[in-house]
Amino acid sequence: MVYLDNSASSLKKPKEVYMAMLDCMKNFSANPGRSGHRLSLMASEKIYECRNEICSLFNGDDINKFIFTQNATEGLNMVIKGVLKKGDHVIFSQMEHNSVIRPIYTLGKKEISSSMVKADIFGKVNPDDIKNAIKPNTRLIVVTHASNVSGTINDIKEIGKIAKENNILFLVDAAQSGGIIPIDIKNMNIDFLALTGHKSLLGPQGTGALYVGYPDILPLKEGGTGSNSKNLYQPDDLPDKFESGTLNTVGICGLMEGIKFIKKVGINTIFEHEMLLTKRLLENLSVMKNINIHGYMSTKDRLGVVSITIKNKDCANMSEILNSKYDIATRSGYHCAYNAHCALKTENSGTIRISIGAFNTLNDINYLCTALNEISK
Amino acid sequence: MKIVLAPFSSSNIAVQIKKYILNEYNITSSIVPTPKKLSLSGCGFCVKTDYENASKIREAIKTLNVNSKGIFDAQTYEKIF
Repeated sequence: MVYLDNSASSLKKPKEVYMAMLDCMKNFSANPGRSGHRLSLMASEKIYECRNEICSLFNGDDINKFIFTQNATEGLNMVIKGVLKKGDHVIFSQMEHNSVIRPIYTLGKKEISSSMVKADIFGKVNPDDIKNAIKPNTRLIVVTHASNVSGTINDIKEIGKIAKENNILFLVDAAQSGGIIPIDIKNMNIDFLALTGHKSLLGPQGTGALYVGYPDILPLKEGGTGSNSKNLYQPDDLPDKFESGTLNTVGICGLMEGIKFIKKVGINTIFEHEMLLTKRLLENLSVMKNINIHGYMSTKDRLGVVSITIKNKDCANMSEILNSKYDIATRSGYHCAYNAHCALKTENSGTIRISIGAFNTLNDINYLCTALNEISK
Repeated sequence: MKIVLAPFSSSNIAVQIKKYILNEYNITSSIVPTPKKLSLSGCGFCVKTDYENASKIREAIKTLNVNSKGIFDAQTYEKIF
């Protein structure tokens, strides 16, 4: 299969990821941080090493502020529900995923107000519009670093600056960008960074991390932490405060190898590779008269996530033909981000999303373009 | 050889201390469950090493700014630092 659905999940992983997960499962998948025997301690050490790797990749100030989650959705929910209280106001962008919108709208029923800042037709959010949306009771700004629909990259450094100047907490959804674009937590004034392990970080599903720069928030769940058992209340120490229950040790071992691979190859090298493929794709699509690209037409300010529509053709049908006839994986529909489609003016049709990953090749793109050329006629 | 225990509330902190003293001072240590007499709130893990390394553990605790009950003689549980 030519797999071009990396925005949903990266299919191919570095071989070290598979090996590390199997090694853990076979040899030391004991419960980390609970028992004192060597296998439990071995698991603990691997967890620590992975936390360290994540901290260094994102230039964090303290490894204990990196909490393991099962995905970015969990991290986003943790922050949104942990920070916002009755009477607070939150700003989010039109390009947000349902993992941001749904918790915010649900909290809207509990007297938490919100403002959605519109994006332009390319999916870009203007930092000045964020600034203009600030109210005296604004407590949190939530912005996606890069759209899962159009691939458009937002200027989170500028938005972080605005948040800091106004003493507002800043949450970045880095589900699409973590592992493919450099993110510097300190430099970008990020208070919370939600990451998923199974996309560009090249780890398995069921892994993720959340940077908690401002720990004075309510945890999403309380429970066993392998520490302070006599204490009937959740401990305040990080990361324990936000990590109740057994971690996905096998997954985290795999995630660690994914991150090591990214560091070994170089995040910029991987990005340049994906941009080379994206450039080829965009060039070919631009000359297919029945195909519209939604988002930027060039590789500037975007990821290798490209949304298209085909004139007079249903997106779901086209995606299914790509799958069944050509064995090409894409995703059609609204991508859990309907508001983003409103910004892109595709709210009636949805789009076919093509998302390039680290292990895709020019041959994959050429084959896709041949297929699109045939089905769009 | 006299052995010391430095108890911490979680394995996370114990692992950090262990890694720190290894990287900074080339000191080998092990992590063991905290004996009940030294236990912080019913559980926890100790960094166990030779007495001569106790001052280095103390420095690590200070540098990493972690909560610590102290450093104890592994036999008598007498507090050393």
